[in-house]
Amino acid sequence: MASSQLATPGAKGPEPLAVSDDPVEVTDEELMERYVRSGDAQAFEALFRRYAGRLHGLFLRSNGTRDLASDLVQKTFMHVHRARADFQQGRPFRPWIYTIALNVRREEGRKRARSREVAVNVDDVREPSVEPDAKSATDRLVQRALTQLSDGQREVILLHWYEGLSFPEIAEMLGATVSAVKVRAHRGYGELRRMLGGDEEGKA
Amino acid sequence: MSASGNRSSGTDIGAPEDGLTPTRPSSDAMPNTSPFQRASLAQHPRDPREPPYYSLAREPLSALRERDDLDPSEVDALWKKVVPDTLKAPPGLRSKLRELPTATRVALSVAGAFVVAVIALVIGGMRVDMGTQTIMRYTVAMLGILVLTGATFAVSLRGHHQKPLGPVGMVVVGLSVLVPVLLAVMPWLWAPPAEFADIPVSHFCGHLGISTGLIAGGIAWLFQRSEVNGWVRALSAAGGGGLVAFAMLQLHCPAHDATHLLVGHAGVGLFLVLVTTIVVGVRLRRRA
Repeated sequence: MASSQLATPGAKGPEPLAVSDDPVEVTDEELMERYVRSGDAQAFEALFRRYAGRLHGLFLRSNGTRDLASDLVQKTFMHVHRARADFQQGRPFRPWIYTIALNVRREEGRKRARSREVAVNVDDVREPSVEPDAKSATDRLVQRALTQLSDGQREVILLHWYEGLSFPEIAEMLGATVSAVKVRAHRGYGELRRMLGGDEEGKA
Repeated sequence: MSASGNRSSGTDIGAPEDGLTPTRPSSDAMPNTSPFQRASLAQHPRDPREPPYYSLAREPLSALRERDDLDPSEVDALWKKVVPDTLKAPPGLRSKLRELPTATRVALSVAGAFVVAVIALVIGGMRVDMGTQTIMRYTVAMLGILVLTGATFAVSLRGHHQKPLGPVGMVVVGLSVLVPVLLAVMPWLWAPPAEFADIPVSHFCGHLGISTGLIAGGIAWLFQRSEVNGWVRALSAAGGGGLVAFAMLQLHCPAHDATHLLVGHAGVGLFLVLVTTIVVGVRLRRRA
């Protein structure tokens, strides 16, 4: 998208959008293009409402707390806004926003690692916690199992299973090969199966 | 727009559970639809060709996937927090610069650094023996430095929408320091003819180089989309500034004394990288 097409957010473009009239018909890519082209605030809000929950879930399952997940969603959309001129027409929106989300999460992870390094009281360094508001014992069990995976495995499983992204999309987002991503997924699922006792059915 | 678009009620954004849904992992490309259609496990009985772990994924994992993480009121509250940083972000030059496309930001930062180097040369003057130097050698050296400067600024200004670089970023930072050092230990490359051989060296090169490098790196920093958040972005901006300073000094100073070239010219980049390391380290520790 050319920079000359970048419009001030909130400004109305020449063609009024019908986002609020019929959001059902508008794809993510159309919404994003309208936001880039005409700065349509409604298009941006529609994208936020489509993705906030999913991204919150992604961050929450990555060892985060609800507050932290909300902060990361906020940062993700700040970067979506700032990087809107980099959104290329015709490219899918979903991998684009997930790439931003993963980079935001990675930065937060580094910050938290530094916090642990400077922590005076070593008792503050705890195992990743499981959200107490997980709705069921199964939720807690699975979430705990997810925290036991390596970062790479957990990242791939969250994107693959929970977010429904394909292996090529995940590989593109992570800067890895498709084979490497498949290996991580396979090992991660295998670990989960072992931890959650799914071996018997798997052998059937 | 109301909160009805929240994923807790996925169908209201027009995503019927119609089989286009990412109902289970697939290595095939996903259809280009919004991702909030929910899996309906009953519609997808176990396929014997599936890897065994899918049986796990269908049950406990899917239970967690079905869980809503934000209710509509939470989405509304979060949206109110997002607006000040996005739709109602204060306008200003900094906002305009960082919202430019990444390629434009990199190009403008390189152009800005070039202008800074030209201004420094106007102040300090071109080397007196420039007419006796081999133009081809200078052109190749300067083009190489320009490309490396572009690469360091591209690393520094890399957008969050781009995949992570991994160790490549630190390699580029290392090259930005190493290349001037390598060129400095080969003073015969820049040696003046005999009649200019006794030109005295001074601290002026260091002062001019550090000033130029700081301003060039600072220009690159103006285009950053977020505050200090990591080593690679900051160090690559500093390394790029050092490269610009080195190129400028090679055009300004005719000295071929190896120590002077190493400390006064190539040392600028190393100095900037060290200072940046200290400053960023202190800032990050304070934030932590």
